[in-house]
Amino acid sequence: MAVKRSEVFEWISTLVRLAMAGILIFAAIPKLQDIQQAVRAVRAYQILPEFLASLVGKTLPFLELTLAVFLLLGLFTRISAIVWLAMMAAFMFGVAWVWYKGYPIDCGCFGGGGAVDPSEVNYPIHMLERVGFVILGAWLLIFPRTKFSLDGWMRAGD
Amino acid sequence: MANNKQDPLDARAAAKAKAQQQVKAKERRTTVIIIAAALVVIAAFAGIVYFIVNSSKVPALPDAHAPQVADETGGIPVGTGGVAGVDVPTDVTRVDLYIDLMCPVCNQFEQINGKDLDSLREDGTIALVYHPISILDRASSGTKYSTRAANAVAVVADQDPSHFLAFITALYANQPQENSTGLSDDEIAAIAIGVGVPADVAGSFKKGEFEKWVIAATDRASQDGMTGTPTVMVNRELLDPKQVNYFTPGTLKAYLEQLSGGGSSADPSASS
Repeated sequence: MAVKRSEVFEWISTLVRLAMAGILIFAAIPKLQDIQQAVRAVRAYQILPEFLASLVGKTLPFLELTLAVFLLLGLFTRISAIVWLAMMAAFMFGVAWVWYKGYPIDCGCFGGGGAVDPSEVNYPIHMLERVGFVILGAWLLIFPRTKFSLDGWMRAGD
Repeated sequence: MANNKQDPLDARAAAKAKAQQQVKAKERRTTVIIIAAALVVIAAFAGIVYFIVNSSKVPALPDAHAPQVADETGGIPVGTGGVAGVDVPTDVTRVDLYIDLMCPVCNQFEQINGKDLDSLREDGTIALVYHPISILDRASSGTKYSTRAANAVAVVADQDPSHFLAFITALYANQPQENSTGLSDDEIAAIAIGVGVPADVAGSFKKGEFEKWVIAATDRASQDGMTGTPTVMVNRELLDPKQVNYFTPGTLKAYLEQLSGGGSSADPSASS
């Protein structure tokens, strides 16, 4: 029995979608556990003015969790992928900025953050991680049809 | 759209089925949009509420209940006699020390520079201000050791300032490993009693009287440029260890002496 290519892609997209949801949850929880640290991490970038640093630090985990729920439900998957890619672009800009400025900081993406010993800084690895995440988001943007999704339920009505 | 079977009854039934399907599709689409909108609204609401509640839980430094000897930067100055808040020289080089009591690198800094800083403080060359902050609570397995230790140190500064420095030294000597459960409140109290802090003062650590001040001072430190510990400021400017490597014995002392014109003004014949 031949397996249709579109069927295979749907399964891959489902995995991608769920992986992205997992990554977002994995990123949001440590921030919520030590929200002061999350604020300090944003401040260490020295990009945002103080009030925004505090606001972004405290509300970013909620954005991450909301997007995670959309991805878990398979709700407006293509738009979710766009939001994900926009977030990745912002973070990549942030990492590039501190790399260029020479600040020795830990990115704070998964909790933690702030200054580290310059020998421990690993901007290339962080950038690679970002690129990996962009690839996930790009895949989902191009192939947003997935199994077990509200999008699918909505489409099945057509 | 023509069917293969051209029976008009079938064609009407097909059209009706298709119309019903379109209504159903529209209903499903509407449901999904409502779910999505509801999620976004709930999330935005939760985020805003969280932001407001959290911002009110952590007071701004000027509003926090602080140890009486604390200054407006969230630091505890120590004077020439070694007593917190007493005989602190003005018009001299000011050294701010931001430390987390769980931080092993802070302990190293203390081992390397402790005696030098003490002698510079005692002869009035520098004004030394300690900032016991808390950035490593996540490294004490949920027991918030950094915050509890910083609070204890603040209580001693407030109630028994002559033992402030000895208490810090003793806490460093008994520093728990990162990612352990830290020291318990009783253990911290025992260490305090061991350096001469009265038992009732040590017993009050667990009340956490200055915990909000510690959090506010930590946030203030972060706003002032502290991104990790130890952080050293000289005359309220961050000291870059790449410029003045204070992990090499003697480097910090030489730098401070040179900055202060080579020793205290009481002995003009001294040279750096």
